[in-house]
Amino acid sequence: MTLGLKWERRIKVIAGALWMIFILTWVLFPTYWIALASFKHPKDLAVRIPLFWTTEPTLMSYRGLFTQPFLQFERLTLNSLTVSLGATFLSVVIAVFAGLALARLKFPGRQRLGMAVFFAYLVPPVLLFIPLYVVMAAFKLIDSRLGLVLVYSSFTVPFCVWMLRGYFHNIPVELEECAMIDGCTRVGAWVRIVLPLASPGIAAAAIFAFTLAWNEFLYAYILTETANAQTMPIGLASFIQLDVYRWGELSAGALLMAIPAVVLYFLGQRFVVAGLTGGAVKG
Amino acid sequence: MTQAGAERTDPGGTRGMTDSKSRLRLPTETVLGIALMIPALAIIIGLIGYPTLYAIWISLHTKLLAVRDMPFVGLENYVTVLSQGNFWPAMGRTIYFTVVSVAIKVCIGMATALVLNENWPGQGLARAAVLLPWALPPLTAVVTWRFLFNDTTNVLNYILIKAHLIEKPILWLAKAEYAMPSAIIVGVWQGFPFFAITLLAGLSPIPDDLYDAAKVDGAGIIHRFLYVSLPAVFPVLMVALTLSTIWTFNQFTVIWLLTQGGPGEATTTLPIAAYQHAFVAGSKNLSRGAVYAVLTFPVLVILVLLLNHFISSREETEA
Repeated sequence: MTLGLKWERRIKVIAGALWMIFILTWVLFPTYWIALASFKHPKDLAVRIPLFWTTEPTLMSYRGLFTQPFLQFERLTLNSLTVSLGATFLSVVIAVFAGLALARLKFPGRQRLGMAVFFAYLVPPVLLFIPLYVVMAAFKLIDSRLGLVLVYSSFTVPFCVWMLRGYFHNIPVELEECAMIDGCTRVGAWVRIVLPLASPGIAAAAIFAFTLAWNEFLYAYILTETANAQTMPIGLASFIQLDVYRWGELSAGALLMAIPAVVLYFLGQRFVVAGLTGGAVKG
Repeated sequence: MTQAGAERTDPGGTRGMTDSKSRLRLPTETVLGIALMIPALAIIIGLIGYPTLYAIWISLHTKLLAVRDMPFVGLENYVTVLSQGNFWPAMGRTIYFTVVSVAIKVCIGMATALVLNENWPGQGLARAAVLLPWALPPLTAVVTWRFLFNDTTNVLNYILIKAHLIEKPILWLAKAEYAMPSAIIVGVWQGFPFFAITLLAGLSPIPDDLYDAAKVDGAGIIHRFLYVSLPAVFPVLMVALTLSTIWTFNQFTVIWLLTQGGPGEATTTLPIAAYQHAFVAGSKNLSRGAVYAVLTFPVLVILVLLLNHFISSREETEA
């Protein structure tokens, strides 16, 4: 019996270790490979026997990326930033209002509205992209950054409302009732008590909304036509079609685009955890 | 902390009481609540509700991309699409892609969550690494895999040949029989961390005592998984499964950037077909595309109803 348990434990540890080695290789090798490719000399990219390491890293691909005349990479970056920040700002402001209403006020239909917001987030772009194209065309918002900001708010707003509703809900209502006894109005108590306590949640909602908009592909693909409003993924996708074998520049662009998304994602994760534990200690 | 946590997750129990008894409640609460909801509702109705209905409206007319007029044709587009012969194969491919992808994601995600739930040095770093594909923009993920699949730089084939797993290079994206598995590989690579992390969140609150008690009762590792871990994560698992199924069924970006639905129609799922009819194929027929999109709607409704059922049953068990 004890021998059985001991052996079982050994097998479990070995199987777990092997599985983690497999998973980490599977997850990390592709990422390593694209990062390596972006620093390789072009002559090392299309070789019969792949090189798993480079002794002479070079920034040639990055330089190439920024000097491609048809790509206008700076402009794409600027568009991505403008659109993502615009959608984030718009949706966080709207979501703070709606989140407070759903978490803090009693009014008829509140539960149903909360569920409706959640289901709105689940309606896939595949169902919406054709009608949204026709609507945006009617309002002359094709190839416009403002148009993209509006369309992106169709997924960032429900996402942020849902997230903030939950976050506000977890802040003890007694705190704002105390402030109201001390003479604050309800809105005053929200501004002075609830919003500061909810700031990690608001930050996390903003971070996730930004990465959702930053990574978005389908809407930007159909709603933009020129460097006027095209975002990074659209520019890089056209790069795939134009020049299949420029792997150096393509890897560099794909990696540069990924850095803000990954950094913010992990930052957001930490915010969510810190916010929840911080709130628990105070409560 | 656990006490505070329990108090906090109490859905509308004590809080509902203090709220309704509170003398501080303003009579204008309804007015204020609706006023605060207006901007969010405007976005949701204007950019989700109305377009959903408008998609159906477009599908009942003939709307070409470059033509302003939009004559009413009734169900003609539906008759054409359903009789053309490539709708049902596209539906079949979408279901195949979804079922196989989600099944692999859930298995890999569960196995990874079980290992990450144990205490071992470097466990935190490994958890962050596992999340990486999920945090990457889909474009970056696809560019990476196109590079790995590519036949001139052929690193994946090189490794597989060296490991004696295959004899000659596989044309991952160029051969019809490999294109769908390739799309599934990339989709699984990006999507499995979602399962790993949600299932880990479901596993970590299970107290060690439960496992120890099961051990004393002579339960082996498989029985402990089936009778301790699985029941505890089941609600989380069901919600994650439904969400992932919705997202996978509607996957456009990964497939489009990887294969554009090809070679031939080997990876043309419904979202790809909708896009192609509306924006690529000769006439650029938005109505034809809308028919494909609208016909995915019943599937979405079924999944959303399932999700609603799982969420409400989960709230019941928590309360």
